[in-house]
Amino acid sequence: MDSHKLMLIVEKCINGDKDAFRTIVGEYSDYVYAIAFRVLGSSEDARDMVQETFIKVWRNIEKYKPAVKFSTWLYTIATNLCIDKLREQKRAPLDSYPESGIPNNLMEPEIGTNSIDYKQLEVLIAKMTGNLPPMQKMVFVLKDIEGLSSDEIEQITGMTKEQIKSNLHYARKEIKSQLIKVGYEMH
Amino acid sequence: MKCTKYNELLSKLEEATLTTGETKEMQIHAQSCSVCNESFSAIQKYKAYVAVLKNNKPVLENKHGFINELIDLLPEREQGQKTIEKFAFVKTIYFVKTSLTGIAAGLLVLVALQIGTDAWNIRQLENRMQAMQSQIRYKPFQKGLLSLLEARVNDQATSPLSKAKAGLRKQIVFKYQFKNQLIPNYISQSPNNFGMY
Repeated sequence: MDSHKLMLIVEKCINGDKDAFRTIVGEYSDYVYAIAFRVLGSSEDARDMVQETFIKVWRNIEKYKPAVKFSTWLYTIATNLCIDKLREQKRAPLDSYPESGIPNNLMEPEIGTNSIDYKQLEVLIAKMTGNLPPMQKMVFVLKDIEGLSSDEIEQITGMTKEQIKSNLHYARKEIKSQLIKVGYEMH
Repeated sequence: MKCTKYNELLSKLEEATLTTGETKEMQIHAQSCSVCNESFSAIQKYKAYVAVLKNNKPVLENKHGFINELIDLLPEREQGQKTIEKFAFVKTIYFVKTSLTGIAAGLLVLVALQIGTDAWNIRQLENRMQAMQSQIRYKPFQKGLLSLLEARVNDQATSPLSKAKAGLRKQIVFKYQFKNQLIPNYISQSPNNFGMY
């Protein structure tokens, strides 16, 4: 969506036009959902998070400044809500996820898009990133999974480049040790 | 490859910025060193895990229903004039900023084009001088043709940028004349005496 069109839609939203807001939700909900799912590791929580994010966006849309990319502003709200949620959650012990819940073929990089169901994906995320502190988990998802640049992550999370680098380093280290612990063979 | 070199390349392997040759070298070293092999294998597993997450992008199920439900939950907004004015102000600032950036970018392109044309013209001029040098052996004739060429350069100099370009061309003409001894040495020591600058 080009910025001029988006600005007109935002202006309509400020005027209380819910149909205009529907366009924004349609455009960005998938991306927000993907981040929330990968961070929270639960489809239900992710769905709630998307709802919460867009309600917050609707309530605060007059605070949006066009100098910042709309997506960046939106993801800032979403990531902050996700981090709050993670901090609230009690960490589930890793032993609560059955070993048999992760099929061996999950570690194949060329795996197809629809080859894992959500339950398996939830277990996989929980197993590997369940122990990570919220900020490490967030940086890992934004950088390595979503492929955002350090500048974008800096804007979204408010962290410095050094903090991003350090969080990412520890996140990778922890995930690697989990992968070794689980002991999946490469195919 | 030694373990120290291998460790230096580890972060590049994680960032996927290694060349094929470097990756191959690392792989060969990892096969012969058990410690490095462990870290190499861990990174490969990590990359595989990331690939699994990337390839299995979660999709919001029943998106249409979800959006309808969400829209129903939205509170009514007050249509305050103040909010719109504030937004309009921000929008104006944004518009001005964007326009200025556009103008600056346009100017940069124009300058780049001028510089490009200038370089091309100078090259042409040099080629023409080379041709003259090879065709005309009698030095007074060469000098006469160069004067004509210089006059044409002066005629073209209309804008400040063109004048600057003409100055550059004059330098070339002057260097050419000096190189071929078409002007006395004492004049060549001081270009201003020749009335070119």
